[in-house]
Amino acid sequence: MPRCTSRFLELALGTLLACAWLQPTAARAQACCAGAAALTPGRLAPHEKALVGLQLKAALVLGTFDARGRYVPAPVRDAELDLEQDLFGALRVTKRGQLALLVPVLQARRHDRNGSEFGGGVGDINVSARYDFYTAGRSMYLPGIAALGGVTLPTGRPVESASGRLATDATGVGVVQGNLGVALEQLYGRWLIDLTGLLALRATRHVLGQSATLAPQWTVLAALAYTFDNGASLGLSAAYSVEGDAALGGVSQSESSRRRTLVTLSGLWPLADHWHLQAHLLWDPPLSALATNQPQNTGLGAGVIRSW
Amino acid sequence: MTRAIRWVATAAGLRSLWLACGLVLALAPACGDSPSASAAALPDAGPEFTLESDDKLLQLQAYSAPFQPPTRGLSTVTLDITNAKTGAPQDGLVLDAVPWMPAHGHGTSVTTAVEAKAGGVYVVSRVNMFMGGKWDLRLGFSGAVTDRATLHFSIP
Repeated sequence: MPRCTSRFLELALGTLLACAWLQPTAARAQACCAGAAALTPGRLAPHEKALVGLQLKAALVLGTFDARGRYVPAPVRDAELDLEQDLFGALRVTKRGQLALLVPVLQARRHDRNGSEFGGGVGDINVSARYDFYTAGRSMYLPGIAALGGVTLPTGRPVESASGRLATDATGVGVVQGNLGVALEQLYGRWLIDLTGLLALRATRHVLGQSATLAPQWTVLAALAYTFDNGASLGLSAAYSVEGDAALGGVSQSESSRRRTLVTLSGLWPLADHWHLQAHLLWDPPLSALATNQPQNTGLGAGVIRSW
Repeated sequence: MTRAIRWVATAAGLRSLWLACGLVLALAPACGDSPSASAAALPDAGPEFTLESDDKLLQLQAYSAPFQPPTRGLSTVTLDITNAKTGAPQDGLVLDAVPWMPAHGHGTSVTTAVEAKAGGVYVVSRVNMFMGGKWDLRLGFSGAVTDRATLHFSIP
């Protein structure tokens, strides 16, 4: 039966942080078409009051899943490179509640038969909240339960306002997005299991003389993490997102629904008492039927967090 | 009777000529890319799409260039439009063309240019499909006929 001894708690915190790290990669996608995020890498462990962090990410878009789920590799010359730098922070506002802020800066390099382009800018800023009703590890039968919420503001530049033809400086969706979610997690010795469900809602956008609405997006994320003696952690997560057909002018658009499966391997390394180094690899498995209307990403990232 | 046949033949000839001109103009920028692939494929391939407009008032044949089907980048779509009831080439249309990625909910930063030719031929240039995935070219017709149509492209 899990018990919160001081040694156990120390190890568990590392694992919790590792999971906090691997979750946001599942919730984000290309800047122009991302879902909202209720999960950020700025999650506080139970004993922490605040943190700030910086993470750097890079991803290659090597192909696309078409509307019927077939994987179509991109021509080699058309490979897309997406870069992201996230500055984030979190603050404990009550014993069980915390608020987080994430400011992304995005760049993209695209190429097609007419030329290449590189651009970027500040993306959509996200504010999120987490409230832990019950902490993992207190009971063998009852998992930790937390409510999640988030709002993503349209501070980025939508595709239609991009300055270049390839829209590499498009850094936002163009509408307010909201997220609600529930996270369940449980500790078994050095293992942590996390199951998170998220619902993303996107406001209607009025653009190019028409109203466009993306359907609600549902995401289920399952994660497993292990904590080593030195406090380092290794985690593996899989996220599956699905949304219905988008609407244009109030009319549902056939074959516009989206699905995505994302696998993330992540690790955490304690640098000092209040410093953590984190890294991850993310991958959309290029297998047909795992996704529709979705770019295939292969990427990596690293970051550092200072907590108090 | 003979005069009527001659008129029809002349109209058909003009239409073909405009269509050919449109395709040649559309293909011209691609010469540096792969002239043999684009120029050779189009005449034999015929139209990429043959479809009716939403209210079935117009019949459309669509050709894309420099590649058919189109690839990532700027494309030109030439439309050969006839009146669905009479079968005659439909001139006098005002055409609005918007590329749109329905699953991602966005368009592009580039506005299309539409040139109306005689004989029911319309050339839509600067169709900017810059990402891989499903793209729609949403067509709005006004003027002589009011209707809508959508072309669907899958860009690798």
